[in-house]
Amino acid sequence: MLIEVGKQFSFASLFLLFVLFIYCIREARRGKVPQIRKLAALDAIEEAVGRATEVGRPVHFSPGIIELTHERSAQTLAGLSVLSYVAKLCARYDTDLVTTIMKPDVYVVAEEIVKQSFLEEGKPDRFSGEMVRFIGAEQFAYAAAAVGIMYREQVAANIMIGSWLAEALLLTEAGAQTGGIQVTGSATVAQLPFLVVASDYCLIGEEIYAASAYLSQNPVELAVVRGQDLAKVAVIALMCVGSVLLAFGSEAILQLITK
Amino acid sequence: MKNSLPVAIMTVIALIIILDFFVADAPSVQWIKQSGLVLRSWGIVIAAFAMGLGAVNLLRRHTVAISRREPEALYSVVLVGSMVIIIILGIAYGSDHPTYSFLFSNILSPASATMYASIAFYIVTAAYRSFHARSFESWVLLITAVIVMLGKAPIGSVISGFFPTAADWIQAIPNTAGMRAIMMGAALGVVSSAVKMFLGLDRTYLGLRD
Repeated sequence: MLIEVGKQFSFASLFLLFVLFIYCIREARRGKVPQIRKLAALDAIEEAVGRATEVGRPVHFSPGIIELTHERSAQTLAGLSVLSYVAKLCARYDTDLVTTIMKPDVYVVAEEIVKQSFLEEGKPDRFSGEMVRFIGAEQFAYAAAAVGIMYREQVAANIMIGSWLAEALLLTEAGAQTGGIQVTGSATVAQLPFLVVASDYCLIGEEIYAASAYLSQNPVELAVVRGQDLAKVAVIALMCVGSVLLAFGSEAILQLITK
Repeated sequence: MKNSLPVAIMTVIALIIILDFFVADAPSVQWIKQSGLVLRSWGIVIAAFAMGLGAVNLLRRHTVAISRREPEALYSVVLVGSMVIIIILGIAYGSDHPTYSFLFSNILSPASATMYASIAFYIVTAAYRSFHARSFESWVLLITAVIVMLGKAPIGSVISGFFPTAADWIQAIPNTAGMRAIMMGAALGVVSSAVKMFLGLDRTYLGLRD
């Protein structure tokens, strides 16, 4: 057997998910473009940058504290997708951007993203190395420095999308005290309650992965979000069938998913 | 070519890493296990180089601040000084040296613990702001929070046996169900992100959008 026992169902599910997503993409290319619901948090980003422009204060962005090789790195990558959008808005409106980074590998990518965004907006001369700041790979050293930057530079908007731990509340409280609009997002369930109560808008769980599609309105990316929803329906159906069977004494689904 | 080559490299590497997780310890697929191991070590080496770049950025920014005598240059002096001392000690004597351990245990650890402890006060201010019952959702949040707080504090059980029971039920049933639903959605989101990257639909990590 090539696939390890205990991981066969997961492997088959992953394969089927890939097939489903590719099917949805093909449908979108044939013209069946899905609509996705409005995400207030993402709509608020332009408002937040606009307000920062009006008051002449910078926008703070952070893509979380997880490196690109971690099991939660997908959240960091989702944050970096939003950084590209935020940097373009800042370039368009001539607004200062401060991106604070905790992980060195994320710093390299974030710097490239911001530089490219300013280039795409036709303002490469407006880009400065100060816009992306590597602070240090120590969690609370990062939190202390980022909070200090937010206070000293009086940021008018605080956008934090990525994976967070205990420092999330320190940053959002600093953002609240500077009086800016706060847009946050994470799929780290332990920190979501803090982000929800401390920020004005919060992207919860899977919404951060839909951000890229929502902001670009690219039909193919929207199709992937549709595929995600179809997969969710399949998972819920499997859970319902499993629960009913279990109630009648059958462990068929349980045995299937543990194969 | 400039855009498709990095996507192709990323896709091949990611597929090997994914297969490495799933494949059994069979001789015919040993090359996948070996490749996965090598690729993960490359990741560590690349991260070390990235750390060097980050350290250069940090030093450059703070040395400029010192040379320009900016208002907060004193903090930059402390940062550059600490950084140089730790780097020299670490390279010259290793992280097991007593001086290195002393600095770590008596400066960095207490400073981190202080930052962590300050979260307690931030929780209070965040709760104060968010528990204003202005909408139905705020009321639900407020009532739930009060029940859970009373259920977990000793005074709750003194007032009524209802509070600990209700707090346990809220945490075990609606809270766990909600958390699992978010985790399930997020897991599917991760797979969808992977597909977008494999197909070159999301190239923001290359600094490219469309």
